[in-house]
Amino acid sequence: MNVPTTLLGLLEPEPSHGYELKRSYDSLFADNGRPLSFGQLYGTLNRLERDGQIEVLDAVPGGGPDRKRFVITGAGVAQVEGWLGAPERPEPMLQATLFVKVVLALLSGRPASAYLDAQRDAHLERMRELTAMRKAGPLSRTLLADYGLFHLEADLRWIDLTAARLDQLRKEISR
Amino acid sequence: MIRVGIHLALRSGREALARLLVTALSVAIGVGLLLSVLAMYHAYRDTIAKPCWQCTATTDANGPLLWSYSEDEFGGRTIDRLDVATLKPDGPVVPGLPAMPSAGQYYASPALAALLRATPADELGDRFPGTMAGTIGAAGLQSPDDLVVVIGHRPAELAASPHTLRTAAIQTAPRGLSTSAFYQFGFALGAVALLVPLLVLIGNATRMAAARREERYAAIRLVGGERSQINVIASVDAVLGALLGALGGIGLYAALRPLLGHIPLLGFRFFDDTITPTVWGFVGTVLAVPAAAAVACLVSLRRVRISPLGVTRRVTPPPPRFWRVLPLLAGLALFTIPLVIAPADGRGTPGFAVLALVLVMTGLMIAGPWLTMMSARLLARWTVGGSSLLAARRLADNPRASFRAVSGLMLAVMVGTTLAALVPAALASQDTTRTSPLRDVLRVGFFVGDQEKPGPGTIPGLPPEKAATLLAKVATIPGAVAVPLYRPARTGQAELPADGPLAGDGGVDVRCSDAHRLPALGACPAGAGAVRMDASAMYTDNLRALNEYLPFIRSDSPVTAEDGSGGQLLSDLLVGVDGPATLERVRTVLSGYRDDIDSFEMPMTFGEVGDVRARLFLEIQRIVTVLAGVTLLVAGCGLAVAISGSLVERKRPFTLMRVTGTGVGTLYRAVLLETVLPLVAATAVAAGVGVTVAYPIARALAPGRHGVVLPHPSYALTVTGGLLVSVAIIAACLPVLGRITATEKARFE
Amino acid sequence: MSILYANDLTKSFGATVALQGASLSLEPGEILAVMGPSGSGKSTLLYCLAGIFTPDDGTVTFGGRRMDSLSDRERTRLRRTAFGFVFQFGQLVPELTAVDNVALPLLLSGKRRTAAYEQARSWFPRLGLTGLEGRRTGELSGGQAQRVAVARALVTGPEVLFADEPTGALDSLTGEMVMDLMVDTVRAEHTSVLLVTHDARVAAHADRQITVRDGQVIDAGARVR
Repeated sequence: MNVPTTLLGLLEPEPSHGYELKRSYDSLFADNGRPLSFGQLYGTLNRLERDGQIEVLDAVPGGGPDRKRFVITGAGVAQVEGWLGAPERPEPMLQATLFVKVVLALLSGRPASAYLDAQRDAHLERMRELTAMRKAGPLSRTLLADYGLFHLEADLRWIDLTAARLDQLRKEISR
Repeated sequence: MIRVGIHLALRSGREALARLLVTALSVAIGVGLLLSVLAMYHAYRDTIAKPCWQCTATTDANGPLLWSYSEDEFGGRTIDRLDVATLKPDGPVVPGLPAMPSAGQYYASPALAALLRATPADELGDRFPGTMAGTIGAAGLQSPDDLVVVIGHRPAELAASPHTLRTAAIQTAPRGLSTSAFYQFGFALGAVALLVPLLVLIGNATRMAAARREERYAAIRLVGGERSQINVIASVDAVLGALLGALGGIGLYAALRPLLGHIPLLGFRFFDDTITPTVWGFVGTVLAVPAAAAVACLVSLRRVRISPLGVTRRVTPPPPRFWRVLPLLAGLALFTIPLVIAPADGRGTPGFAVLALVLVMTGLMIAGPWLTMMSARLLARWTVGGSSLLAARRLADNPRASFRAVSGLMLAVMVGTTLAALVPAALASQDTTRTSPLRDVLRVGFFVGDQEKPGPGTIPGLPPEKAATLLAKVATIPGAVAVPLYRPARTGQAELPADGPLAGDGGVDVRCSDAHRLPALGACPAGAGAVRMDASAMYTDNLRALNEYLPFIRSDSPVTAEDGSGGQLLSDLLVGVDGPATLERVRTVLSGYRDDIDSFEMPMTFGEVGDVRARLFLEIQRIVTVLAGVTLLVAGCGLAVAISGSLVERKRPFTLMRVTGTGVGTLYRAVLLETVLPLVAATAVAAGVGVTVAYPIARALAPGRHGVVLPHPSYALTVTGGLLVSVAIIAACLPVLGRITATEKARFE
Repeated sequence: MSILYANDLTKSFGATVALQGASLSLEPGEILAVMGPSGSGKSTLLYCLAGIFTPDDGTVTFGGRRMDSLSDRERTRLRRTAFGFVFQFGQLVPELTAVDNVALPLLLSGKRRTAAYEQARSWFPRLGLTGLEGRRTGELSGGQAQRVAVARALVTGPEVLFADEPTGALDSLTGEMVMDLMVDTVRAEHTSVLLVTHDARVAAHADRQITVRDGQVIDAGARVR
């Protein structure tokens, strides 16, 4: 999760106060990760201001960080555009973890298919949760849930394919 | 549930509605024709069941009636003439008459009355003494065209005639028509020939797109429709089409009805009010046709198992086997062998022949799928290419369905071939009627055999004094040339054979000066005054045979001194006439000599005698043409319905093939092949069977001289034309294929 | 208390063994997903539970009654009154209009026509089908046709809805929409659902899922231990 660039993107349509930014961020993206802490928020905003990607538009007299209204700069827009245009690096992390588990199970003579079945159940359980969530929420939340569902589905397909080819895999790694 | 069925049948969209209409239309054609056949059959039964008062022959010495029945001729039509005298009141009355005519009166049939008004008295009216008292009602007539006259006399006038009998009872039994067996045969043949294609048509119509319908039944089963509910819904669908069709058929019959009255099935028209399928026919049709449709529908549903997941055939039908040809061969053998062994009996056992013929037709239907499969195998072996592969595969997979489409047409061709081969053969023996040199010569015989009149004894000929008066009267008619033939005096009365001159040496004496006036008789040897000639061929009704015996007088004919001047009896009289009016005038004169002429031997020209014989065959030929045409029409409809149905049924695979790049032309050619191939194969076999059936009959009809029978060339044209029409029908169905498989409409739920 | 219970079902088609000892239970109001690869026997299991197939061996109990010993007629009656069906395709009568199709089970049950159509029409707004009542099946989109099928399946108020790959012929967006509407409706009606699918995202709509492999129901928990 690229928090600075996300905040830049939220600032782009209109100038905003820090607490408004946090509220938007949390309601839109928190389900996919963790809610934003105020420390992280203001740290990030300061860094962005220092880098010239945002600037203070105006401030209510009396000072204090949450009295400032921020606006995006030209450099900030360029940063958002660049991030959006560049594809994300595929993250093989989960697959890598599952693969290591399957191989270890096969090498140690434990039931790999039972592990995969259990993993499938866990995946489906999570998919049911996401399905319930996407039905309840506003569209923004639904889309995020869908994203998670498609990823889990991809994992499940990999699990099913692997389960069907465990015998071949066992022969290959024991060679 | 019935209401649900009706609701489903009527609300199921354009395709279902179109199917319903096609079914109804096909059934309507079938029912309309069926009703017409029934109506004609009813008229025929009604007519032959009429009392034959003309046949009265029982004598009663104390009876109230003097009865003298004879037949006369006018313009090629027979006049039934009854001369009658009442001895006592309250005697029986001829049907159709208010009372027996009193002396000096006569009753005439309406047709005769009209003829009397239109004809000079010396050609017709003078034959009937007295004045017309009224017309004869339908009860006494067989046909509105009948020429009948009932003439009243004083008893004394009739008592002297040798033909007169005294009777107490007028016959009420119908005439034992010698031709009725023949007509029964004809009706049976016609009914079978028409009925089978009709049933095929109706069957094809009600089965149309059965597979599409079965899909819908599977869907209904899925939502919990019980098997009985499916049966009801399917039956309602079938019954609705059949009922609409039956009602439409009655409409069609009503449209055809005026034409039926003009069909001279027995050589004369039927009374209009007898031509009806009767109320029971109508009721039966309206009830039986839908009932039959429902039964057929249920039977076809029994063969499939409709589960909620779709339709499965109970069993995959095995390919047809060779045994299917056996019934056909058996039928052919049954039909042919008796005719070959004993040709003379050929026409005598129509019941057996009908049975064999039905077997032949059924055999053709049974053998059809096997033949179709064989031709598909040949096609597969001898051809390459997508279309023929598709067609051969379809034919081999389901030869029954492919054959069903052409079965009606095949029967039509078979029946047509049989009759077309028969009729020319039968007519071949008559074909000289127009060319005989004696065509316009009238012959009348004065020999009356013992059996031909009520009293005992044989009248060998007309006595000289009567003959002289007759000859004098004939001589006054301009254009009439009389040649008297005398019975040789040497052959005494006792030696005369009982059944006429044919059985004896048949010699008659003729004066050369008379014979000279009818050149066709031949020329006398030089210097002869009179010759004795063998004229027995005069009595035949076969002009071809007569011509072969001409001339009667040859150079070696014995010269005789008996030239009729020595009190010889007048045996026969030949009168050449120069036109119809002259002919009728001669007959009018002869009608005064009724007592001396055999009452059933009408004075007719040789041409008329030959025409009578030919007329029957001409009528048959006409009916055959109509029948073959109608059968072809029905079969063509059946073909069109079957093809459209099979196309609609295979809509999905065809569309898929088009989607995957098969050209529509390839599909056209495949469908054309899979239809035309069985059609051509079936037609060839049917024509072969037809000739095989016809050949023995034709040989029996025309023995010896006309051994080789080939259908008339026009028939070959008809069959070719029929085939072309069929191909055209198929081709007309093909655009349907293009439309229903249009790729832009491809859609698979 | 299970509403539908299958014990040790076996079913063969000739030499092909589709089920060998499959057992499951369906609770009232529960949506149960039956997953498994193609040819695993999951559809056969559904057809056996729905009384369309008769198992070679084993028992099916519905509402306390043995299903496998019922006559075809009684099972047909159950299909009409207690079960509803949504298949991948081919379940609607193509020549009929949408409302005709929905009214059909009611008509077959002998309901009066006006009442049947009134009831059928009341389902169209619930499934977002307002205005499509008079369309013929062939004129509907795939998602619309499946929603009509759902209405057709639920119109009789069944206790169990059998759904075999109900979104199998649809794209994922349309499939989600059909599933959402179907699940919402069966929840509102308290109908139990047996949902056969190979699609995990469809199965995720269920309360619980089981997996069928080689004709048997796999008990994942038992084998992990």
